[in-house]
Amino acid sequence: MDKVDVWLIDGSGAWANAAMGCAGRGSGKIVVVVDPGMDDPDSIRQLTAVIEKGSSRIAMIETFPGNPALPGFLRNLADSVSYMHFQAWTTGNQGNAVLSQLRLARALGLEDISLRDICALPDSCLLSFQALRSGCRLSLRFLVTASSALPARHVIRGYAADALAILTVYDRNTARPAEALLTDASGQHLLPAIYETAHRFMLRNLGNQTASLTELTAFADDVELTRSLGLN
Amino acid sequence: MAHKIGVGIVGAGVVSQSIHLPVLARRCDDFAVAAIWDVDPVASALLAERCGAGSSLSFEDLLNDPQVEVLAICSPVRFHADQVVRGMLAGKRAILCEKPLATTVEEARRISEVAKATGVPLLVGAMHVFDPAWIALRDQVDLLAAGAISIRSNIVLPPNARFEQWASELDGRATGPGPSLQPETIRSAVLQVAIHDLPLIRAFLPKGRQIKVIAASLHEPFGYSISVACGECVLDLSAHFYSGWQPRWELEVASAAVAVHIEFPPSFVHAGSSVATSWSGGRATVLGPFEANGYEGEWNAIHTLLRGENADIPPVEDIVGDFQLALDIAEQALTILVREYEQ
Ligand SMILES: NC(=O)c1ccc[n+]([C@@H]2O[C@H](COP(=O)([O-])OP(=O)(O)OC[C@H]3O[C@@H](n4cnc5c(N)ncnc54)[C@H](O)[C@@H]3O)[C@@H](O)[C@H]2O)c1
Repeated sequence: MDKVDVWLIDGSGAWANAAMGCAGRGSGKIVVVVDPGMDDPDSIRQLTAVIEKGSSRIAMIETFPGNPALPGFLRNLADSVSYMHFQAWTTGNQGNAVLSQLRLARALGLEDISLRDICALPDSCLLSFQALRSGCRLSLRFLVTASSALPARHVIRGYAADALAILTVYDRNTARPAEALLTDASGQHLLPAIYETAHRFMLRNLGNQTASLTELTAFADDVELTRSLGLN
Repeated sequence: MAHKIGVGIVGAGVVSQSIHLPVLARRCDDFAVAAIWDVDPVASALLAERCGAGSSLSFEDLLNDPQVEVLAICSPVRFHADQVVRGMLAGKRAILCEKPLATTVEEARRISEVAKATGVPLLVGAMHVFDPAWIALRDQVDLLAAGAISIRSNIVLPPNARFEQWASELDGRATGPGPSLQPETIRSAVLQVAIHDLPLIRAFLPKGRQIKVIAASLHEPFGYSISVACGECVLDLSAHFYSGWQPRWELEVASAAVAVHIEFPPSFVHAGSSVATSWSGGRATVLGPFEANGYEGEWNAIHTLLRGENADIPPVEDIVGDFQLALDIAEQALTILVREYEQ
């Protein structure tokens, strides 16, 4: 029996197998996957089954969807949003950027995300989806630009019948706070933000921030969808 | 006293009143509004009286007026081609035609032929082409044009009574219900709204490559999004009309190492130029806002031209190419939407 309570696993490789190994090494462990990437979806589903059977818990630290600004942005996003635009500036590959966009969409309460069209080029892509938010249909677009012109970031724009919302989330290399700007009839508000990355936020809240099995399954689905796009 | 260039205005509607006459009033040392003609004689007479100009009795009358050296065509689009051509054949010194230039490629080609035959300079009122910040950005544009990989054009407008009346300064400007979400609307949305920035966008698209519209959709209350591929560049065109208060008019272009973002003031307002920001090698450069806007830029260019200097206006082939691009996007997007609605 080892004395480790919390396992930290680098999510860039075959993290699901590694997580299964750690979860199986005794009870009451917390397995933390840092920036989980596009591992094999079946291994991720297998991991779900292992966690379900055992007594270990799993947590995922995701740079963009885990940013502490997201819940506040979500709370303030108008109900009548009919169109959302997700823009990724990345210096890495487009597939990882799209996976982060899907994860962000989930974190913002979008469900039943179904792909309608894709325009994939060597250094950029543009995808259209339909999704549901609180039961209402909305159009969704992802634009990815692989460029070193700007430091990596995601910009999410929500367009409603009477309001606009823009959220900019910066990469993990900077703890620069996300900017959540909301414009409605009462004016324009920059939501309060803190100098904290998703990583510190998650580690600080580890006791009560573990992922549910549904979240893990959703992650596997997102990886599957992203892989099916065959992006660079 | 220095010679003032005589201007003839065709159409006494909102654009003449809110855009061109205020600019010409500011440039009154160089321009004089000689005459106004509208199919509605009351509209012509009322506006002519307000600005101390003559009111022509017919288009022919305006063309024959020797004081009218330059024509500003501000009538509905279906009349543009015929009026531009007749203005050129009548020997006017320059023509400013509001966007869109025409309704068909054939009309645009006819304009081009007559422009070449008569040598009369033509400007199209896509004012962002003449925006001082855009012009100041030229070096970056040349840098980017060789390797643009993504272009995002997003236009957010509040076409409600409050915004329209304050922007145009015209009381009772009809706003009515917004456009419908029927497929046909996409065509006019491209030719009336997206068209403003298509000449700028075209400067970044790979030369000689066909465009392909991949997707088009409409959303509530009114908005469109269109995905276009051209060579190795994606073009993301969208607009959103809503009842909020804030307009936002953005154009953003990126290559592997350079990006530019331009934020324009909305149509009608005389609020100075756009602000252009470019990033490369970790350095951001901000250009603008300059005092003049694109509308003033149009008249500055005409003034420079008529002094016999190089005004650097787009050649007529480019003007026709810009129009063709707009029409191509509009038609392809319409075909996609009609197909989707039928399913
Ligand atoms: N550059 C911009 O920012 C901008 C903004 C809006 C509209 N526009 C363009 O400007 C043009 C005019 O738009 P508007 O909003 O002023 O329209 P409007 O409907 O307010 O005015 C058009 C005027 O033309 C008159 N008219 C109708 N038929 C005519 C004819 N055959 N000859 C002469 N006049 C005729 C009408 O009586 C009316 O007074 C359109 O081409 C439009 O696309 C440009």
